[in-house]
Amino acid sequence: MVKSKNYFLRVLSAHAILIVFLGVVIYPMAYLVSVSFRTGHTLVDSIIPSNPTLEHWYLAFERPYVGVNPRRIDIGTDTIRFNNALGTVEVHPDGRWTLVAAPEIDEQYFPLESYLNVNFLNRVGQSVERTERIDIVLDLAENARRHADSRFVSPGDELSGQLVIPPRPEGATRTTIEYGRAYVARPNFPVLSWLMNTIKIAAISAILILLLSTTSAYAFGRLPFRGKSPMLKSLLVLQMFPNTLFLVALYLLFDKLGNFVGFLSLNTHSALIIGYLGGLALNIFMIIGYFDTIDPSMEESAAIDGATPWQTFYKILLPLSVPILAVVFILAFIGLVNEYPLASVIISDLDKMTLAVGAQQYIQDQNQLWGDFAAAAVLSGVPITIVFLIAQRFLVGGLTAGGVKG
Amino acid sequence: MANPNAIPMVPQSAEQDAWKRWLLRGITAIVTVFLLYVALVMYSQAETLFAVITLAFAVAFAFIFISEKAYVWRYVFPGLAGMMLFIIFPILYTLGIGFTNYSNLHLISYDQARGFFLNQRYAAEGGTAYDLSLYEESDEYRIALQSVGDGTFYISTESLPMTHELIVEVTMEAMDTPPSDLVQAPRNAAIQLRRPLDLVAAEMPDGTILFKSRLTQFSSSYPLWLEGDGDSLVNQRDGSIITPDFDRGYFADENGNRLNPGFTVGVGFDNFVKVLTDEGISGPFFRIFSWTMFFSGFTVVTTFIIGVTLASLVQWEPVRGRAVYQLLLILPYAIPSFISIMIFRAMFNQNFGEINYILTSLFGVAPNWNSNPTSTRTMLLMVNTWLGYPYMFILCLGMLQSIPKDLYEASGLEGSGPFNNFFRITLPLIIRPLLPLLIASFAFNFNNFVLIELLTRGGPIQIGSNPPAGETDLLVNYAYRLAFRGDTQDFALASAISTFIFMLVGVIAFIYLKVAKVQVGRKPH
Repeated sequence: MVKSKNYFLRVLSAHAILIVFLGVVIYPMAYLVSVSFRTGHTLVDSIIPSNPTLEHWYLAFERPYVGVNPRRIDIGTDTIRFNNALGTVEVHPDGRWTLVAAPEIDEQYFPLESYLNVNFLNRVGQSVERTERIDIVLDLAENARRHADSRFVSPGDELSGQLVIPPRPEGATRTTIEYGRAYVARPNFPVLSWLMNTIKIAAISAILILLLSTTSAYAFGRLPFRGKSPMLKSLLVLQMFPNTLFLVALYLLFDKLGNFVGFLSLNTHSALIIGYLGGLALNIFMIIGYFDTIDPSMEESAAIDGATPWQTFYKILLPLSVPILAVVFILAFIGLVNEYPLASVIISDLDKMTLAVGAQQYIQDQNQLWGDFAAAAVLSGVPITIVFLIAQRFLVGGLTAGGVKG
Repeated sequence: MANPNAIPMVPQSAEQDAWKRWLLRGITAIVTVFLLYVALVMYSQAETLFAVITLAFAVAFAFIFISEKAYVWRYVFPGLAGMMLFIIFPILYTLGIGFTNYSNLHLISYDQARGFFLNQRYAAEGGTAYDLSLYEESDEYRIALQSVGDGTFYISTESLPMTHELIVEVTMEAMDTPPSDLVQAPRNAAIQLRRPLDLVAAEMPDGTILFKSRLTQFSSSYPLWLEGDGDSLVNQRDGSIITPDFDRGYFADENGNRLNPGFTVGVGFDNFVKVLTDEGISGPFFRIFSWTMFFSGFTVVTTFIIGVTLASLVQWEPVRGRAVYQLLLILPYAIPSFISIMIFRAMFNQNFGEINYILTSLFGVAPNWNSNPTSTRTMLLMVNTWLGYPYMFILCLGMLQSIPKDLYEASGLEGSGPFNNFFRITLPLIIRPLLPLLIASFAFNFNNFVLIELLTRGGPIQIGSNPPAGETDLLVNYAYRLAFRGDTQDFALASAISTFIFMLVGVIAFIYLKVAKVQVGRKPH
């Protein structure tokens, strides 16, 4: 077949459209990753962080982070004194400096790092020239050898040195001492517990949903009983009513039930798991749809051989239906991981929350911890996304089956 | 010739079967007894409705798992029970609440409200006062009272953990001197424990009952309210009379001023009338309704257009790397929505967001994504399109694969171009099977609570709405706002709104059933 110039142009423009669109799709994710590596909680920075830090990632893994903040003090004719969190530093006008390390800092935050250098600024406060940094490390005396590259000090000791102050370069109007103030950031939120809670709740609920909808689908698909057709139709209607519509009633229901049955009280994981068991209808339909594709003659012959309905179900139909069971499980699991409304109403303790609810705690009206949120979101979102992408080839069939053939 | 394998199998072991049957019966019995016990406890606490439901549930459970006639129902019952309890019952409960005045000002029943007033006490003028002190006894406290008049010392016979929420009675006994083996609690303990101490009735050896009258003083007290004529209550201190108003659900004095707490009463269709006629509610309600319809309709159309376009491009054989494109295009669907929605909240930030940065540097405009209703709604539509197109993309991909290729070959020979092919072949073939799914998508977006809740919380607030309603609230978000936000917590009004939503979703579901032509069971060969 002869391929015209027009044809190649078309292929090329198809690629162009797809690539432009992918840019729109992928940019927000790159943005999230970028925010998670930025210093502080700023939203204003380039996509490659100008001042990258692992602070948010340490906090997401529930570990304290020890970092340094740059600070500046003008040098005049007097001795200046400041605290760089390692201890008290004195800098004389000629550049001699001494550090008296604080004796009482908790060992678990060692090594604490700091630095000193001279920075010349122009009128608007921009740096004109910097001298080389003097790195200082505070650690236990026995770890001295690990920090051969830096000036070392152990708790309670004194350290002194000479800072070279060159003549002020052209354009500079201020001479400043720049020093790093060490700080310890402690994790605010139990991200890993949230992840565990989410996986636990979603997995248990998904298993129970799978169990209940498989047995129901078997009865609806294979066994004769009265009122089957109207029941199926009402199931189809019911699945259009999401639990968001009756959150008030569910809240009051668990509030009441909790008075009588301990494991159904508000603010428990078991109540949330049980509350999710209402969402069966769509799964039942997907499984019925799959059962319809399996020839019943095998089950019939088993029944002739004396197998009970349970035995035909358990020993013949189930092993043949493993693919759809996997799809139902994965879809239910992902749906439950994403579930927000019911979890937000039932769970109120910080360490019992699921990720969907917990992640919102970072962004309050007055205090928006975007950096910490981004790291926690990437950490928890990546495994869920990977599970989904692995399962996506089953999705095409699963989603269309859910909609019942037209 | 008879095949030996065709001989009906003898059940593996009759004995084992009997064992299994008895195990099943045992479990059934245990569960049933547990349910009956729960029903009994509910009944004893005057929760008759819940008790009856639990009882019915227990009976159904026992019957289905013991009777051989109900064998089939054993497979369906657990699933149906879950749906009954967590979908159908809450829907009915919501419908019921819509006809009451249930809110945080009317939380309790009439009997409980009456009991609340009858339990109130006041300290009599001129009665004996007692100074309060507390003694610690292994995390619990003993209450000590010393008469202001003659200095007699009394101490409670048992200690209290001070975690009670209802009135507890303690017996006091006289003692010559403060006990030496107990440690006196610091004075501020009485301040920290003022709430539990309010609910302590101290019974003195002579039978008088003392209540706390000041922060650190107990004195003899009398019931504040006594029952008067009919349902009225008489104030013992000033003689005023309050009567319950059963239409509005609270006690009122002679001047008609209400006294809290109110109680729950049925109010008929008042809430529904309010939604349709009250100026502060009906305006916002219809505004929210039309926005909800527009939001869902617009989303379905745009996501479908984008989804089908991308699917056609990815499906087109000359395009290389289609698997990679497909995987990346599904990403927005794979990322948990509670994360992606928050990313957009950051990107659409008014002052610091990327979007306004780009718009300002390219066009010099910075839309106000937080407080201008039009731009806030535009933002929601854009974000929802981003979130929703992969679903349509996946669906269309499946549909396109099932279209026979020779149709396109034939049209190609006739000289038809890609656009002609799309509108004459592709679209007509996929729109029919997709229609039910498009309706389902409409229903989903109609109730897309999470997007609004996480992105805008419904804001900005509509001017003139009372109680507050948001410009970007969908109907579900409006109901949620009424029930869980703000200081009124009007569960009843929220339920009335939910009832309207039920009806609308019901209509959508009806259309869905008509279009989908639901078929049950195996198709005949």
